[in-house]
Amino acid sequence: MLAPYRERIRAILTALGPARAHALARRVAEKPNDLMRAMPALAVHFDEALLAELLERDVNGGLAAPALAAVGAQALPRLAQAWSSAVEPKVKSSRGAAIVRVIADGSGPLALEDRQAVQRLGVDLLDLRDGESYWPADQTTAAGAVLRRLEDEPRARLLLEALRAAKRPERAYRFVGSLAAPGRLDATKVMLERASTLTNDDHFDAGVSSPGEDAPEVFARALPEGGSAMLLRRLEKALGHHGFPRFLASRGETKKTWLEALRAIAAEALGARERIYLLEPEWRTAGSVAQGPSGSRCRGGPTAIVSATCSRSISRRRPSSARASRSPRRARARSRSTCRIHVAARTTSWACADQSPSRLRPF
Amino acid sequence: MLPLDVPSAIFDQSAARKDASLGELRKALLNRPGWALGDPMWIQGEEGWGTFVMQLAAEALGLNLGDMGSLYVFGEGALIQCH
Repeated sequence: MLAPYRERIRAILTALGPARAHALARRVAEKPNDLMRAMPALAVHFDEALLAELLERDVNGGLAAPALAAVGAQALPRLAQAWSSAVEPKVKSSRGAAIVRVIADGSGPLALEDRQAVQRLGVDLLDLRDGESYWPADQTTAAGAVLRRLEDEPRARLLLEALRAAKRPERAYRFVGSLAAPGRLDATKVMLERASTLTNDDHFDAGVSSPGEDAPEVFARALPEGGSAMLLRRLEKALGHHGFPRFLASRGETKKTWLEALRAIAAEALGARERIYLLEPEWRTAGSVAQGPSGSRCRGGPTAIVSATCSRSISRRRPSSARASRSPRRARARSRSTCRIHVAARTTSWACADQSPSRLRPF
Repeated sequence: MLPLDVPSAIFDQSAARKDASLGELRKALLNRPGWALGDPMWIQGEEGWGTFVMQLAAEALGLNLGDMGSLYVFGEGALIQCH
């Protein structure tokens, strides 16, 4: 039975010996796009001078991280040097990704010089400083693996630095579970101080759940009172149905109703306001529903779901036939009116004081 | 029917993308069964005619509106959009 392809290549390169393997590597990597074809020879017979030569020839950063990672930890010092000296962002990013991948593929504590290299390159190496909300899963996993290979103190220092300075602190917060208990609390406090930068991505949620069972208590200690409605909503989502009530209980609070929470978020959002009317089933609005006048139900229809009268400024649009002028802002005119809305199971109708009652098409 | 004062900008998708609090409020509103007045939040492109009256999710109607669809009711008619 044949050995796996990679093992056969390794055996052949081993049999060739360093000199012939390196000559072969130079021959197959003559073209700029073929540089990665030299990596198997380097993995078997490592030669720093040959690696340096190949990295120098890779002016566009086309050498992929997995190919360089195949060379192994022996390539790290040269890669770190190449990362430091790279000027082109694409080349720098490529070298950084290769370093992360090499370290992530290894196991056990880092050697002293590798640890120094990671600490020197810091948050930039781990892609924690300027990233966008989207972070490819393989890069996320690799960054986590690198952090796990660091000792507690440098790992905590690196994450706190990223939490304080990074454009997207939630990327760093994602790994808060890798810290010891005091470090988690400190990191959570820093994250909450920067909560206004949170986006809708899930790194924060992953971080919230990573400390494990005591996450609600960690957050209650980090945020003993207050917090914006938006942050509390994020925490509710991330801590879940069991964790969020525990978080609130630790703060001596009870959960807001869905309407209180929604109104709190609406009150925090800035800008010119207008009134809308939420259409909720009766069982959900018990005690807070705006009563409509009697007799406002659709004639002949089944029981109305919503029936009420409201008074406000309504928006008007031109018919859609004028497609060229469909811009809502141009096509809209405002007028104050009293409008009455009826929604029933089969029909919807509405009437405005300045219009005759209009019955909508059945839907 | 529950009154709620909201920033007009939540009906503008691009504005809500730029402002996290608007985005959160917009998402919260889209998770409700529906609302009357204001403006529609389109799942697909903008369409419709006349005065916007209300937007309803399937939950409010007990109708199949497709994949997380919404019913948009205007002064002169109604239409459905879904994902």
